[in-house]
Amino acid sequence: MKNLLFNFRKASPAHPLEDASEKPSLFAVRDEASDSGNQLPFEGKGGFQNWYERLPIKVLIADDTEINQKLLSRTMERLGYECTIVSSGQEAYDAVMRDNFQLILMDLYMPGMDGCEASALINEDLEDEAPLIVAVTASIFEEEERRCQESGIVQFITKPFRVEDLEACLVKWEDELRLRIKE
Amino acid sequence: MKGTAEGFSGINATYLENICGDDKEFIQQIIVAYKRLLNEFVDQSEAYLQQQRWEAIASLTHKIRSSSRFIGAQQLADEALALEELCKSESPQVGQVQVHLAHIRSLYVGLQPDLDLVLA
Repeated sequence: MKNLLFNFRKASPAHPLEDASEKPSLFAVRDEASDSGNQLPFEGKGGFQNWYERLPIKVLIADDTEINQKLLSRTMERLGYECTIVSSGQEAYDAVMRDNFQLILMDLYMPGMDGCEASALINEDLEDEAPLIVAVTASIFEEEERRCQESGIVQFITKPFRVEDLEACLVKWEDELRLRIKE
Repeated sequence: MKGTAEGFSGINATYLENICGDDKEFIQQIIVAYKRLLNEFVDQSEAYLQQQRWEAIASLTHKIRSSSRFIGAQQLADEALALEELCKSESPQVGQVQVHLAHIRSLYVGLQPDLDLVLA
């Protein structure tokens, strides 16, 4: 299943508020979500649907930088999710072994076990039971992209992300995430 | 916070406003965390340079790169990218690294008025 899920986007270092027409890679996720057959949700109060009501998954954020943790957490809050936050790949692995998460938003650069190593270990140990892992990264070098693919990361989202980027990710992987929800 | 972004020369708070809405307190928390991160960078990077710990500098630089993009400090983020790439190259030259570090520090000093304006 992992190979079918590989679907990478080239990272763009550009600010998302710049002209989208010049930054096709960053916006490709959003475009593809619109074409995927899943419809973007109707906007709720405040501009975003409460996604937790539609897709009640547990989300883990793994990032060692306070700013990234806060912004990612706030972004997911706007979509209705209260996330668990950890600061290293090892902590992410431990959290996944303890609890049933369906989605991990994983930074790649963390002290000790990095995001790729943690993702590989999680996918190796949990196989089809593993949560979907999306890398959230400032940019990615060629060698790191290869490591991401090998570790079973299914997509990467470029920092700085927007609420719409995370929402598009949920739309894109909604069916896969729903399969991981245990009754 | 609305409408303030255009007044900043070094940062662009529009992104934070997109994520945080009108939550000024939250935006201020982010700016405080950013200043703390940059101060750590300034403190630690010189020691790492002396020890020629390139991976450690790359790691520090990576953090300020992504955080700088979040607050729209693009020049600083671009400079951080250049330094990170240099530190990940096969044989970084001390002099080159020093130049980038000095530039980042200078850009940070230049951002201070904007950052303080958000905190005011």
